[in-house]
Amino acid sequence: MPSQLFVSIVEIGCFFALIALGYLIVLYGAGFFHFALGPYAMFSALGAAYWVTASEWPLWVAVVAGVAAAVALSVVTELLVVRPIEKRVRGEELPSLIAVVATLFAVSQLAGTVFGRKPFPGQPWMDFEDPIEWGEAVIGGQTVIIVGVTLAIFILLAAWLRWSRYGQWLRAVGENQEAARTLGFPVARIRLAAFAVGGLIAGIAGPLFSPKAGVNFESGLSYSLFGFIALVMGGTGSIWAPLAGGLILAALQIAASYLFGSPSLNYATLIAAALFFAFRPEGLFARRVRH
Amino acid sequence: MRQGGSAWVEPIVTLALAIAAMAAVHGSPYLEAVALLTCTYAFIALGMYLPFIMGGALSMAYNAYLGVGAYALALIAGRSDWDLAWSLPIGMLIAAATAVLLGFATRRLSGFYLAAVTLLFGIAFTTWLVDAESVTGGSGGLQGLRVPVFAGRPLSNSTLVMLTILAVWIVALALSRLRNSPFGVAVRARRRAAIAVESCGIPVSTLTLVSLGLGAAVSSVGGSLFAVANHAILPESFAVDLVFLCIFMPLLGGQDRPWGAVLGAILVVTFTFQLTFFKETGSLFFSLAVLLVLVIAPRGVLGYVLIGLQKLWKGTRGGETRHG
Amino acid sequence: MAEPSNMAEPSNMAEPSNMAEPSNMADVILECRGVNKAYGAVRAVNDVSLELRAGEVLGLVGPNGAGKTTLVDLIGGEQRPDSGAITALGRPLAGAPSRRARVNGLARTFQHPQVALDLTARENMLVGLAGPSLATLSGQLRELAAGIVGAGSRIERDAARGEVERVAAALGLKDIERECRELTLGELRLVEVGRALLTRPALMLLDEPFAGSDAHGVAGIRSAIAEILRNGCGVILVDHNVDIVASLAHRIALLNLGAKVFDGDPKACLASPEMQAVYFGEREAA
Repeated sequence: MPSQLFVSIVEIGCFFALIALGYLIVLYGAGFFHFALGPYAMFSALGAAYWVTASEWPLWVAVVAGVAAAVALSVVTELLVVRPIEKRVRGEELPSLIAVVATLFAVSQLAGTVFGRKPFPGQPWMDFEDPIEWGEAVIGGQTVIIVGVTLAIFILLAAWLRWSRYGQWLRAVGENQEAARTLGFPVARIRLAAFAVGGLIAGIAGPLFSPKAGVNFESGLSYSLFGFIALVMGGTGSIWAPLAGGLILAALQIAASYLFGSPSLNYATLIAAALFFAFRPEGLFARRVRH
Repeated sequence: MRQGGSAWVEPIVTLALAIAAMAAVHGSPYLEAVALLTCTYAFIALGMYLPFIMGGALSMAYNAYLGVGAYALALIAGRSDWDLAWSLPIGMLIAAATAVLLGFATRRLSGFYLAAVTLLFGIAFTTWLVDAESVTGGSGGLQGLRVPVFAGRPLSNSTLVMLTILAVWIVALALSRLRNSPFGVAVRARRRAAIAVESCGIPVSTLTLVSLGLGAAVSSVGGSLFAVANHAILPESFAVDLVFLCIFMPLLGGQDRPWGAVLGAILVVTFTFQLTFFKETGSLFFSLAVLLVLVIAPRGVLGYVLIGLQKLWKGTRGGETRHG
Repeated sequence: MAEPSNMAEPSNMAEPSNMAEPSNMADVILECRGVNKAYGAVRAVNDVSLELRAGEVLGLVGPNGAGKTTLVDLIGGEQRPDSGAITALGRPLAGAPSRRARVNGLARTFQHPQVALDLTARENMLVGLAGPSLATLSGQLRELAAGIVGAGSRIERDAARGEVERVAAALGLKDIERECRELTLGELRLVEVGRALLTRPALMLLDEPFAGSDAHGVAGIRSAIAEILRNGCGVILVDHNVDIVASLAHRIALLNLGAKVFDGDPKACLASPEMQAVYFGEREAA
């Protein structure tokens, strides 16, 4: 396989890994699969691109605004949608699932209404005059940024989970909200932190990756879906598991496209997901202790 | 089952409404087209009613089930001499088998996994429609479908509309009866007390798969009717976005009865296509309306109408009424 | 079926009334041998062996975390043991809970009542009656068709005989057309017991049925147990309240930290040093 494809695998893998990481954080802190993370990433990316091209903001301002928007959307979702519904239907999972799916759709439509329905190219954060050459492959500036930022986020988050107060609480709460509450944990604040951090990661991931593939208001659905698959493949046992899952999914998709043509990307993802769900739903890095 | 005279109220009232609808759209090609689209959506919403609203299992591949029914009809119309009626059982069988296979892959997992794998399937299906040109006609779809023969004559649009509205009525009534039957009670118990249903000797995974299969089959009927109505089909009609609208329909219309799903379909079509103000922002409006319903008014339009009617009934009769 | 009498304090009952003593030659209907279940470093069930005979009530008591509910889950099929054998009437108890209900005649209630709150009490109990008919794919399809057509349902035929109403009355459960949202915790437990009874089980697992029940609820469950025993079945009764269990059971097994520390006569158990140690601590409280 041409070495340029390996570069693509790393780029796409990092993107999926970040979305999956967002899922993992919200899963740890609120016991919830945040299906709406994809649209938050899209909103941030589309917003940044729109503000740079149509409003002529400097790139950094636009990206920060996009990230802030993603965090705001995630927090609002928790406060106005997920929390009231979970409070009303203790234990039943379906209403929250429906609500987050509706949120996914609503945020996509909001982006379409505010930023328009045309696709936008992303805005590179940095470009090399002379791209790095690696064998036959060419590594541009944005690629280096993607890898660098991804690793930085993972490392920072691992440290946050290990050493900060909220981080440690997050790990402790996990899926057992009730037990945590009776033990005196400030569950509401932990949840809020989890949703905010999840939104933050998604908000950074969007504009980070959009220079590579462009973005439109409907992109959020596949971001959410592929991020979820990456999470399932990697497992929930380690903070680094999403990285493994993201790279594996990206490798699968690119290999399938290369070998069988681009439609097979979706077929391959479907088959791999179905197999993982059926035979290894806990992923590669499963949690060691029963939860 | 409800006793005596009150058991007839529902079929008679709804049939009267169906006939009124037929009369209202008769003679106007535009209204007939709107009615056919509404019925297509109603079939998907009704297809979702059993596994999703009653059973609590969210499958998101309904665009595929619709598409299976549509392409089954289009292929039989375009490539064979068979009676077009064959598309119904063939489409239903393929759709049901697909739903069962997908459900089987996730049978021990929570609802999020079923939603994800069925959503993936829906996306893969749309990809395949464009990709498999030799079978599906690719992005150009299938055109110029022959008109079915009904009672010796080519089926006119007016007759088709009447038959379709009648079909929606029959399916909704059947689901309403099923809802009150022991099978329906077991499916509804699955939604919030699956462990208990299992402990009574009822294998919940089988129950779920039967519901998913039947729901998919119902939706595929809608697809076949859609193809007949338009004499042509394009892959864009079966994009995954359709699934979101179809989830919203029973939620907005009301979950208490299958009629809520039909009401939801009417609401969606009315707002999206009739009121031009909403044309661009229609979908945003809907998703916000759905969120509002989910958080504040979970019983949907029909639910609150029913509550109002019951209060009225109680007021005039002065007797005890049980929440139906 | 005797009406439940308005019993005051359960501890007034020295002997379980209406319950015949099981003969020593009665069949062993359930046997656990060397059952183990661990979660990481925690041994929830530690090499437990016990047996239950037809017509017998076996009480399972012990403090929180003793492993009672885990053991019940292992018998019921909601969890799998790490090692050991569980057999019912000589046949291994295996597979999903629905299979155990169908093949081994198992029925159970749950520590937190598993009841669909949006359905009526009658509808929830109907699920129990429906169990045998919906146990197979062909049965489900048949009932599906019957439900749409409106005729031919075996479950409806049974229900028309008033089975559900009869069991509800026997348990002292009133007005079963109410939605379960409106029922008290005690009434929800009765719904669970009624649902389990309607599956016509050979073996009942009652998991903490008395928690949250008033005297009326207790009486209802007492009648349910009598009814089950009348059919030659066996009951495993799990509860915190040792006094009630002692008044109802023919034998008591005392669990502590996953292991069985006493197995025998209820009165002897109450007075035993093991009971003292487990509930009151030998030297200091844990």
